[in-house]
Amino acid sequence: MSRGYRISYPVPVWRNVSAHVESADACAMDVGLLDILPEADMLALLRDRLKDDGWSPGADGSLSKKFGPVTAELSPDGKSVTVKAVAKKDVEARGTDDAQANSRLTQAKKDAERELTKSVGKALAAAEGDVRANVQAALQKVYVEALKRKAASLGEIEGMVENRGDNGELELTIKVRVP
Amino acid sequence: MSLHVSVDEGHALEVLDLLCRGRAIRIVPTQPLSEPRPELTRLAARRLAAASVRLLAEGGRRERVVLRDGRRVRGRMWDPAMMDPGFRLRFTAATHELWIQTTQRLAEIARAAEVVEGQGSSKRARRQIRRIIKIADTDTGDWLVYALAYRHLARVDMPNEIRDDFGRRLCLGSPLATLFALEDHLTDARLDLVDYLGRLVEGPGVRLVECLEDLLVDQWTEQVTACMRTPGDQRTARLTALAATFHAWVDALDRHRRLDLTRPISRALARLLEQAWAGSPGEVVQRLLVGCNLNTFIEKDALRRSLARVVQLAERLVRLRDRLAGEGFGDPRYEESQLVMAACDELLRPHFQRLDALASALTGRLG
Repeated sequence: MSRGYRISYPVPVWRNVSAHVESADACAMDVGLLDILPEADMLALLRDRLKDDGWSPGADGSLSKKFGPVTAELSPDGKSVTVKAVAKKDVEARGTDDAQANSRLTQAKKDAERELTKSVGKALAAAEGDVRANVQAALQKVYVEALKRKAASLGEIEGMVENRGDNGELELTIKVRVP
Repeated sequence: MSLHVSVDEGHALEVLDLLCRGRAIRIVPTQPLSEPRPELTRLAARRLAAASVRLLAEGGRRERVVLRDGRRVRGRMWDPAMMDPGFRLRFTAATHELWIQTTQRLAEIARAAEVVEGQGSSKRARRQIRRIIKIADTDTGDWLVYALAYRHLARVDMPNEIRDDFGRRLCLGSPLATLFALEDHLTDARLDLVDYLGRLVEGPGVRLVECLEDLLVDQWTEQVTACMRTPGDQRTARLTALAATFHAWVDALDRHRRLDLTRPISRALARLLEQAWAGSPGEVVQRLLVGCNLNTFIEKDALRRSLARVVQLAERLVRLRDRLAGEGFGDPRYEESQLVMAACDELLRPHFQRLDALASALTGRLG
């Protein structure tokens, strides 16, 4: 003998909620220019050199360049380079009522924030070395140029020899005839 | 003179020894003393005077060159030629209150039960601390005792929150304690830190700073080391306040034309290179970040820069030295400049390269 049962199963009415999560991080590096020429001249040389390397000027006088997912920015006064990374994500959650949906969304936001913070940190750590090398190379060229100008201001340049050591260190010898 | 003392009176004298000399309290009182008899007060006053004068006499026994009326004078600090007639070590009722009230109330408030989680000391503890430490109209003797009390209370077993409030109050009553603590608690009291520290050098009280050079070096080395180990969430703020106080002290000395008194800073920086800042700059940075639990680069950067401000004191002192080097014979700061240059060249120059490398590592300097 068999018996039939009617089972009613209420179809839940899902409430969908979403949010936008953003995580930003940055690290700053001081720029210490040697005072071979007056400070303004040294800064102008650095700015010119960075522009040649693909850094683009901003409206406030800063210079910036993208290094993969991060952006490096030279401050308008040329005293620091800030490397910034930003990551965004949309998160969604759903629940049978507002309270449940919001609580799930809060948890999802926390998880996403943690994940984004990690990814932003990784991106910064990976790019920091490239930015440092880029600016350092530009600074070396700035010093060479500044020394040449300084030498020229002292007298007539008779000769100039550039040598690079095994460790990559640049040695510049300038002979000047002083009047 | 012989004086028979009761257990409670013995406890009161031990409290005095704790404040002045950092000796541990072993006696458990039956009823902490509230009104000492005159003989005991006289004995306590003698102990206090002996401890203070011994400290100053020992600190000033070495022959050295100091500025007197803008001129360099060589000798021991207590030689007649070096004596400044205006100097006196004067204790007010604040020191007496500190002794008696600490005797009565310290054990009562130095308990974990007096800490409200997340809010620091309980209201009751803060009220008691205000009763213990008077901050109005204090004088040179009180400044010294408060500073010593600050130093010695660091070793007393009590909750950090209570110790912090106790120290904060001592700093409000003594610029010397502020110099020991390297903390700026003056905003609430509407006092400017440079002016406040300047009180130490604007009168004959400067002798205190001159005699306490060795103690200041010890204290500052310990403070910087302790700050580098404070709990992660407070470390940046603590180091920032410490650096700001150091720089305010240099400002005060510059304003009062006594940059020769930056000697202990140079000595402390050199000693830190052998202790908390030993090793390569990279190792120091790693040690600084240990136990901080900082997740973002911004937070780590802020922490590194807060310590960098301390290390960069060396750079600042060298810049000041170079500025003073321009003083010629007969110029207003010529005599001071000679002392500053000698101290800088002897104490700081040999370590400058390492300090500069450490500052570069902490700020990520390029160039």
